[in-house]
Amino acid sequence: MHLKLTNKNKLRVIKTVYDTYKLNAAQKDSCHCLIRKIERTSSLYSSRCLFRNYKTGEYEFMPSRENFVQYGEWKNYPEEEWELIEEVEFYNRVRNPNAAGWGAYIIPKDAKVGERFYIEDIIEDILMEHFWDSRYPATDGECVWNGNDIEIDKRVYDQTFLIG
Amino acid sequence: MLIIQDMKIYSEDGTYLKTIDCPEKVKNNYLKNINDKDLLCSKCNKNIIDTKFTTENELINILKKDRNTCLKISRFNPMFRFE
Repeated sequence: MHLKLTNKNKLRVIKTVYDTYKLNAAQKDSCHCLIRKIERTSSLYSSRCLFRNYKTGEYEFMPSRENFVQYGEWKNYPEEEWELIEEVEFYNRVRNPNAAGWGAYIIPKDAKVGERFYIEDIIEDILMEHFWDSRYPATDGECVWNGNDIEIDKRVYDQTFLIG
Repeated sequence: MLIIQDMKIYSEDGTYLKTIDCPEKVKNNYLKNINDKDLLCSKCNKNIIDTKFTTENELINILKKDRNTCLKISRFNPMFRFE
């Protein structure tokens, strides 16, 4: 499950490209091109355990031996009942398949200093929400152009919560 | 399943439970964990229930007793349906 902020504020859009063909086209068009290396963040890693019940042979794939599950229950997998078969780690962001280690933001050539933009495909890996044992990455965002670079406004991810 | 429509929370049978409305427009960074279920709002010093660790029935009972109870609700919580 992913939650897109979408361009609710109707901002101008920063495009993201992952190939030199589109990057060069933007460069020729005098756009500002910001190249970013794709780097993973430790906050988007999760681990899971594959357990097997000694008596029944049933398998379960869970975050740990003690887990909070829906409807307010804790589900436990004690060592004396459940054998740990495998413990695995995985990353919670599945990217654009064209991304090969780098991406570039294409900023409109007439961007004004202080102008706010919507980024439809964010290159940085940012944890949007850690809910129960799941971690959800941001996939879009908003930023401000400072004349040389963009500053991503992480406060927009507070929309993940309702408080009151 | 609880339904949230126009910031109002309803139970599945359509009973109105609460309107989510913080006069201080508090954000997540104002909240401090007291325990698994409770948070403290540093803006108004009031307890807030983190619905991440409550059941639907617990929450309905709490809101029936006091509609002004403050809540934190994640959009990723499968207990809620956003309409």
